[in-house]
Amino acid sequence: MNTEDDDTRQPTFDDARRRFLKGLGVGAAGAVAAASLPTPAWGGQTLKDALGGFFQKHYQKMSPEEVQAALERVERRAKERFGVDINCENTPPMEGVVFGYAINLSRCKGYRECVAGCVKENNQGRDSQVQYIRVLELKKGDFNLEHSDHYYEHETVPRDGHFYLPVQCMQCDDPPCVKACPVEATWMEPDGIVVIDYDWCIGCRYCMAACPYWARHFNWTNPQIPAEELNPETHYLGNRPRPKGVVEKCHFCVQRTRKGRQPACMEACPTGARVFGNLLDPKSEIRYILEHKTVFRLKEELGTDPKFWYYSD
Amino acid sequence: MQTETGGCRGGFCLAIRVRSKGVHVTHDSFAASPVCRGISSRVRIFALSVAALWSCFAVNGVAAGDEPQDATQRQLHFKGYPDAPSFQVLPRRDDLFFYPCSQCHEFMEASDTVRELDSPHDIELDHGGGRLWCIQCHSMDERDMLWTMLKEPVDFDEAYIVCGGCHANRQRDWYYGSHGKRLEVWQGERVLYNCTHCHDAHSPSIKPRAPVAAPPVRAGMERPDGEVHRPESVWQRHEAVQQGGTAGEH
Repeated sequence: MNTEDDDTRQPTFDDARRRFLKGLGVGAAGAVAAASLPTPAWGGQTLKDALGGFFQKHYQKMSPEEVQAALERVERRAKERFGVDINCENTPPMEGVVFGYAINLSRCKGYRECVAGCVKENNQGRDSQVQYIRVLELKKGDFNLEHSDHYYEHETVPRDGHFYLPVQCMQCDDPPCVKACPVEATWMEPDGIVVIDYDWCIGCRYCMAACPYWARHFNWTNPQIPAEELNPETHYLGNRPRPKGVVEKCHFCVQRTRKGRQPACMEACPTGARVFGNLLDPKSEIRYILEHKTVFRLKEELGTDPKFWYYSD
Repeated sequence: MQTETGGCRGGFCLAIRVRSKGVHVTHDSFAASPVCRGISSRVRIFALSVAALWSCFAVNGVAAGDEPQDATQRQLHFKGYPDAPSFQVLPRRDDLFFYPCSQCHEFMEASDTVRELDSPHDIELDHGGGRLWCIQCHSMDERDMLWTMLKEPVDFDEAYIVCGGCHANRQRDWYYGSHGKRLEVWQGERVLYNCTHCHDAHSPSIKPRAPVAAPPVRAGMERPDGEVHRPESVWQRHEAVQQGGTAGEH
């Protein structure tokens, strides 16, 4: 039967079957080639990584081997995106540690060094509006946060008649963002840090609406980070490079604090206004502050039980 | 090497200073006292062993017989805070430009006369509102030392003891960690900046400086103008009403 010459003939089921099988053969051959090569079709990844990412489970439900595979995928993805070798870890929480933070408002002078230190440490997009810390400038005698300004640009700070209030994620002990998440992509770890599985986040931004502190930020664009400024020491739940379309927030520098180091904002603060420590250790500096200073928590009346205190002396 | 003790607390001689190049251990129980970083491990081991040996003698209440004769044994009036977490102080003395002071001052008579200072000490003494003069903090007896109000000699790296003479509350906060700055870690080895790292002892108030650039606004959005919507304070409104002579709306 010569079907090619006969243009008026209606296509039969046999033709469709033949075309389908032919396509399948070509597709399979292409897939074999694509599986081993990073192609634009898989977002610059190999097919294996794309499939691995697609079938990746929730962080808390992965087996240790699956977590390891996910970490390696993160490292390969960063290599493809930035050309930088990064080290992604999943350091577990320490036993008997719940983190807390205190800021001495009399010491804070509004230098914004904490913001700069945080952006660098946590691989935040440089052109986006993702800054975990906002240093609010308020008039003395006024504590209405709606009157605050965190875009102040003065030649020198502190400005006369003003004080500064750094606001970031309060790591609430009863976090409303966790309750709001429809897919359980965010949860509180045993050391009190509220973390996000960026691979599980669907970008619905319910958590941002639920947070009373404006502490959660959405990646509207692919975060732009200069490759030479990428911090290669990363944590799966912390500062690993994020994709577009997910929410992120302060995680008390989980990649540092779980190894005993200070959060980047505390290390960057030139005035020593920030104190970080273990709330369960009665000899710790933070416990001294909570027991001997007049402290307050922001919007405490909402009952979210923040683990972030302010004091002044 | 010169070994000195100081700042005994509760009968236990916990504060021992080993004076050698850059080695400085203070107010620390030796069980948990790795010496400040930045020195060679050999010096560190030697310093620790000397210090540990010395602390044994002190705890047992036995005078160290083979102690060098020139070692100045000091009992400071201020005993520190025994229940404060142990710490070390980041050394700073050897970074001082003119230290040791005795290089010049050994040959000059100490004078407590308030006078015009000239080079190289043309500093602005803006501490205590003009009530202080050099010798309130700098020792007249040992020119390489500071001293307390009781004229106890204190090393430059122990400046916090001198500062606490007036600023006792701040000093207590510093001991317990609610004032001052700790290095690098939130747990483990507690290394603190000295008072004089942040505060210029001759002009201690922190001077205003430029902030880091303001954060960017997301593309397509405008920076909110915070000033416009800010209400005046209560007292400014009342003053305006009084000056205008009309009853305000509030």
